[in-house]
Amino acid sequence: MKTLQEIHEQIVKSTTADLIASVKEAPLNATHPVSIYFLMNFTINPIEPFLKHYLYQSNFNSDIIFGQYDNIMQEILDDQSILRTKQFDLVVCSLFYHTQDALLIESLNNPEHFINQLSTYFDNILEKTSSLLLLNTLITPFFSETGITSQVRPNQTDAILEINQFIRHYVRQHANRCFLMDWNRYTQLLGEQNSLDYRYWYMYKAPFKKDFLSLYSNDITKVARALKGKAKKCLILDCDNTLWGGIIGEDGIGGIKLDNHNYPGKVFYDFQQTVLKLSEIGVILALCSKNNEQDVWEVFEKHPYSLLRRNHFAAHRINWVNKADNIIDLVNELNIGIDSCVFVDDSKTECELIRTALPDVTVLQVPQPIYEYPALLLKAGLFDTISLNQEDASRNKKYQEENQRKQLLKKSHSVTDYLASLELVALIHPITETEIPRVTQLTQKTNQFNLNTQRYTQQQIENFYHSENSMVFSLTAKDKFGDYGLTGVLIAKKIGKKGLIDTFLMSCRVLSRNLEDVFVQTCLNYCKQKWGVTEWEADFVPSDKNMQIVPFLQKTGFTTEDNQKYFLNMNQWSQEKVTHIKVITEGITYA
Amino acid sequence: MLEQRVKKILSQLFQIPVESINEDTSSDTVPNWNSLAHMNLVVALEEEFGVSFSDEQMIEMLSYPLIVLTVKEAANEKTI
Repeated sequence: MKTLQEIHEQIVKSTTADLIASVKEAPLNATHPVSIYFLMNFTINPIEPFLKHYLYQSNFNSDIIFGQYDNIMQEILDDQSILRTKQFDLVVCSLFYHTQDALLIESLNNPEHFINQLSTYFDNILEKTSSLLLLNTLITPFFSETGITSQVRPNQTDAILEINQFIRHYVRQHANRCFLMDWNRYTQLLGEQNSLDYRYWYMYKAPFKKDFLSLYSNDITKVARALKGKAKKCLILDCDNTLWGGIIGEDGIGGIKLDNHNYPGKVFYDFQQTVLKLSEIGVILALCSKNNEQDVWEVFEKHPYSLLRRNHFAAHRINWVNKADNIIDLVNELNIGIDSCVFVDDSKTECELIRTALPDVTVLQVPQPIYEYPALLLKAGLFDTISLNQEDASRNKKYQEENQRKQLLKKSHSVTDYLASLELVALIHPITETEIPRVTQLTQKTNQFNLNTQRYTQQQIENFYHSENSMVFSLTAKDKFGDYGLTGVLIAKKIGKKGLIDTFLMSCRVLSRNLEDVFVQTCLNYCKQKWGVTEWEADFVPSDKNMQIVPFLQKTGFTTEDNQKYFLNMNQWSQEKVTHIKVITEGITYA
Repeated sequence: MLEQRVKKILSQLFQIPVESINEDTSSDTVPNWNSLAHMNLVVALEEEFGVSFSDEQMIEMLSYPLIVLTVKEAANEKTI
C-alpha cells in the first residue's frame, strides 16, 4: 500500500483533469465505509477529488457531504439538519479567515471575543454529535500589515497566534474527540505561492491551491485510518545501512557509522531517535536482517551510540532466509495484520521483493541522499496509533454530554465571569482640549450606536466645550488585553431646569461590556451635581443603522410615547450596578 | 489536435464520452457543469495548455466551441 506521502507526491504531479477522472468511481478494494461532513465558512468543496483519492488509496469508500456555505451555527443547532440526523464518522470544521476579514480585524484588540465564538462552535459540535471533530489552525499573514513597526501596536500575527494557541489547547483538552489540522504548517511547508489561490478566493471564496488541499486531505485521511483501526502498528527494520551506516559483518562494531556528532553517523543516530519515540507511543518494533545474529546483538548491547537496545524489539528474524517469508513469520508470531506493517530497508532489491510479494505491507526505502533519512518516518505519517475506536468515541460522548449539562448550568454566569476577567477600566470625564479632534471625528463617523447621528464640525464641538450650558464627555476604555482608545461621546445641554442629551454615541467594538451603562450613569450624575438637573430628555432620530440604541434606552430606564422623545427622571432611576468596570473620572487621555 | 485535447478534458471533468462532445455541448446541456465544476475546468485547461485566462475569458467559456476559441485566443496572447 502506498504511503500518504507517496500519494501526496503523486497528486502534486498529476493534472486536475486526471485527478478528477481518477475518482469517478470507487475502486473495488475500497470497501471500508467512512462518512465525513464539512462545516465551513468558505468554499472548501474543491477538496472533494483530493480527499476521495486519498481515501480510495487507503481502501476507504467515502461518503462526503458538504454543509451550507457559512451557516455553521444553524446547522449545528438544527436537530433536523443532515449533520444531526445522520451520525458522521468525522466532522471537519473548516474555518478560513482571510487577513482582510472583518472579524479578524476586529479581533486585533481583543482576540478573546473571536476565541469565544470558536469555542461556542466547537463545544456545540461536540455536544450535539458523536463524531470526531477536525479543527484547523488559522494561517498567519504572509506580510506585516504595518511593516517594520508592527510590533508596537496590536497586529494580526500576534492575534492569530493567540487564536491558534487556543485551538491547539482546545484539541489537547478534548484529545479523545478532536484532531488538529495544522493549516499554518501546510503553508510553512508549501509557501504562499502553492497554498493560496487569490483569484478563486475573490471570485468563488475558494482560497486553496491543490498542494494545500492535498495536505489537508492527507491529514483527514490519517484520522479516518486511525478511527477505523487502519493505522500502522508495527515497524520492521533492516539493520545494515538502516539502523547504522556500514555493514556490521564487515566493518565490525568499531567501524559502523553511528554517533551523535559526526556525519553520517549522526543521521543514523537521529533515525534511531525517531524509532525510539515511536516505540514509546506504542509502535511495535521488529528486526528483519540478513546477518549473523551475534553481530547484530553486539551492536544493540554494546555500541555506545545505539539508542535502540535489544529489549526494544518485540520479535526478530536475523538469518539468511528471504525476507518475505521472514515477515510472514513475524506477523504470525506477533499476531498482527500484515497490512499494519511498515518495512524499512536500504536495499532496492529487498524493497521490490516485499512490494511484490506482500503488497499490503508499506515499504520505505532508505533515501539517498542519506541526510533526508531522519525525517522519513515522520513525513510518511503512518503511525497515528491513537487507541481510538467507535466504542471509545461513544463512551466519551456520554461522558462529554454529562459535562456539557453541568457547563450549561453554569453558563448564565459565564458572561459575567468573562467580563470580570477582562479587568475593564473606563476613563470618563469632560473632554480636554486635545480630545476635540477625536470627538469631532466620532460624531462624524459613528453610525450604529448613535442616538441621533447628529454630525458636528470641530468648531461646533469647540463651542460646546467653551459653553457654560453644555458639557462634552468622553469615554476612554481599556482592558487587560489592550487599549480601546477614546470610543464614546456624550454631549449634555442644560435647557432651563431640564437636561437634554444632545449626543450619545459609542464605537461598536466596545459595546456589550456594560461600558455604555457606566458612561451614561457617570455623565448624568456629574451633570446632576454641577447643574442640579434631574429630568432628562433624549431625542432619538432613527436611521437605517442605529436601531440598537432603542433597546439600550429602554433597558436603562428611559420612557417614551412616540419612540422619538425619551425621558428619564433621575429621582426615580434605579441605576444598574456594574461592578466589573473600574471607573476613573480624573485623568488625561491622548485622543 | 487542440480540439481533441479540449474534448478529452471535458470528458474527464464532466464524465461524458468524448464522441458525444460537439458544437452544442455547453453548460446548458451538460448536467454536471456547475460553478464548482467550472472552476476545475478553468484550472484543468490552464494546466493542459500552459495559459492563464483573464476574468472575462473565464466567464465566457461556457460551451465547447467557446472554449476552443478562448484557448486559441489565450495561446496567441501568450506568444505575443
